[in-house]
Amino acid sequence: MLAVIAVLAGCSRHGTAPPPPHLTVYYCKAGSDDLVRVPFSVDSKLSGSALATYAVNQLLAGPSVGRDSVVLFPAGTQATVSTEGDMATVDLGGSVARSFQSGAGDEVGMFKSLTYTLTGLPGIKSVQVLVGGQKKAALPGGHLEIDEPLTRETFAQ
Amino acid sequence: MKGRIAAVLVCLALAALPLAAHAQGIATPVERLSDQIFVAGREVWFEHLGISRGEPVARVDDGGLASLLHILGAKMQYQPGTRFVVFTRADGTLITFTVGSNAVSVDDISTAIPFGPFYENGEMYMPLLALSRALGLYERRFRGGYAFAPQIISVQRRVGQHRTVIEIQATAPLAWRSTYGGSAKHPTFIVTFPGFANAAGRVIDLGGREARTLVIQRFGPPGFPITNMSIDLMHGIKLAAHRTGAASLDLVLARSERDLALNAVLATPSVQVSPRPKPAPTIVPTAAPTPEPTIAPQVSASVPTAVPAPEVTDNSTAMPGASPSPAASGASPSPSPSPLEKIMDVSVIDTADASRITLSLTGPVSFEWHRLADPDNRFWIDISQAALIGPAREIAVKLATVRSVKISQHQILPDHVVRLIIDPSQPVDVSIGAIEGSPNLLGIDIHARPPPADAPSSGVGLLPAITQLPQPRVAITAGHPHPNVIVIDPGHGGNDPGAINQQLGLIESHLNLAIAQRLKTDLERDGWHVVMTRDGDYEVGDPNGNDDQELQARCDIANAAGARLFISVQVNSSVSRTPSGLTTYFWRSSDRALAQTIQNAITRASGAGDAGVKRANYYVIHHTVMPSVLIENAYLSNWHDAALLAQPAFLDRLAAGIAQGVKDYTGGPPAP
Repeated sequence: MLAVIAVLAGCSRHGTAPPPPHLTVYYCKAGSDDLVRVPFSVDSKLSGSALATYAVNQLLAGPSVGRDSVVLFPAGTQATVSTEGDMATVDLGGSVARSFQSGAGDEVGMFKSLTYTLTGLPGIKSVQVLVGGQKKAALPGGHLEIDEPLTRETFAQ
Repeated sequence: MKGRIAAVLVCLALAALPLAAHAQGIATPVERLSDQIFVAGREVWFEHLGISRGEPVARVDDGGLASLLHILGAKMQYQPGTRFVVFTRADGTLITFTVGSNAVSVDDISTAIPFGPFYENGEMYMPLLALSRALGLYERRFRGGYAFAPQIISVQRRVGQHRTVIEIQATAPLAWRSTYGGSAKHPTFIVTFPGFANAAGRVIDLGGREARTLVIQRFGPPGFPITNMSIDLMHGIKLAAHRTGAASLDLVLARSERDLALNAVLATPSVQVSPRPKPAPTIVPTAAPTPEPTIAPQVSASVPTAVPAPEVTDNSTAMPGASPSPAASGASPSPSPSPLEKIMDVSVIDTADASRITLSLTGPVSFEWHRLADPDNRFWIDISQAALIGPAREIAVKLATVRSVKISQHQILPDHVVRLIIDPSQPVDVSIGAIEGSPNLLGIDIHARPPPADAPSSGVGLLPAITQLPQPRVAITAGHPHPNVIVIDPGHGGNDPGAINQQLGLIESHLNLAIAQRLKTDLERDGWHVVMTRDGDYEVGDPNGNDDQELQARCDIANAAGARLFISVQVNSSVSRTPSGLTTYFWRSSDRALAQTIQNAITRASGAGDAGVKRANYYVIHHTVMPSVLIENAYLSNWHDAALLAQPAFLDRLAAGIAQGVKDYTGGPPAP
């Protein structure tokens, strides 16, 4: 019975063309604050806050095994994502709201990957980060200023 | 019938009132508390320590409470069975608690508290946190206990013809040690107050004749705090310390020995430290040949009823045309003092074209403001039901178009009114509001531009339900008022250790401090005056405050010092073991050259890898007004870098490299 289902599933995948990937998640390259672009296929009906949430969840989940990239968000980080106009709001909770113990370089990479991922979505130009529902100057124990919306320009050299 | 029922109900309600009020003072469960209590650096043992409604409480007859008061030079008056507990602070301030009352009276100014003294099983318990605040203590909750420490509550500078007198007032008897430091060319006089813990560091400008700056910093762990005052003396200046009261001290700075004596300028009787009311000693130069500026009188909240009510308006700050104080015109005291909010602190941030005055309040207030038409242009704000902590004073604002800003307790009866007056030389635009994210901070922004043509001449407002001003955004360098001062900011500290390498037992906050202290030595040897945002393992801001305040507190120290450079010292870490080397970060494009110069020097001196110069919007290098960099001194997460960081000689080389970078960039401190 299981074999039959597997065969049917395989037939189904081969019989329908996958939707074109229209989401890029930017992970950090291990050992630097360069970003690694990873394309994802998503349901074309997904848009707005649902699409942004999907993107952030992929970012928090980390890259698939074997890639030369890392997830810098602490394990256990949770995010609530919404979009309004050209701004996405990401409310971070869980481990990241307690104390960020990595270095300043990782902190930049972390928010850079978040900003690049969300501003890659249609119509999104900036990202407002909240911690526990509130605007904060920086993460607890952190350095990077997050009380104003982040844009790709924030990370320009 | 209905009327009779209503009357009975009213009677029952009235009869229940005192019961309800009294009920607050009895039958409150107290759970035993085994926490440690430290007072002014000493552990105090309590036999009957408990916790009630989440706060520590102690029985009034507990020997621990007696020890606490003895250390602080305070006294308690209490008769079993009565409803009042009265404390007298070392500076004479009278504190009255009432059983069942959610208010404490401090020199007749009433303040709300979570709960007052209460009875349980016939024993009276005193809430320790409310007592601590009334005693003017700095309190700190730490794992396993509470630490209470007296504070320096007032530092006033008085400039005479031949000397400067610094008047220091504390909330407990002062004991101190003093030592000279620095170099012969740039001597530093350091006064250490063991057991004292001021909530936040301060930098006071001493004008540059006898001394440049006075820096107040807190050191040490919560249980054993130390407050240091470091005075950056001019060459050839001598200093003498004179005790003027149990909790007060005068430091006299002069070039000549004869001017160091306390009575050299102040004719007999020169100093009157009144036990009551209130701190600031009233110093009256009665027959001095060269009169010094009279100190603005300390406004007392205590109004003796047997004598005419005192004049409560500070003449130096009174507005022309303002209605006279009812107290001065003989009005009777208000019978029902309503809870007052206190203005605990006044601070200023200056930029090239604006100044922000921030008043730290203990709760919501209402205010009204008035603007006089050109050519007078004065602007004043009256804050109602507010008590100014500390004396009336002038607030130093660097804006060229502002002649003076003064704050005083303008009125006590019938309302407590604190008045702030801005006296500009030409029309200025003023905006008032709560500072975003800080509902108890009232911000007053003075812009060096004329107000809009249709601007109103008066208005009212409420804090916090008023327009919110954005967080201070200091984007323009205000110049270098102290071009020989460099501020070093050792990152993290206290409850925030930063990154940790567990294998080697390395803690980032400790390494940051170790590098910063070496850098301080190197820079001072080069002739710089160095201000450290922290010089021990503690938070720079209020430890009970949030992380945002912690970062801003570091910026405040640098901005107040008017430093030439700001250098934040950090150690990097990553989730990856791969990254290594040194990185110097900048935010403003104009600081790229400074970052690159330091990066070149530090990589050359240390031999560590060069991870480059990078731009990043780190809070402390964004909100400091002088050229600022943040240096990440190698990676704790990289085995090779961490092994280097474990060697003191490597820390020496890092510090020497940064100091060399400063020299390369600045050419050294300016000639004195």
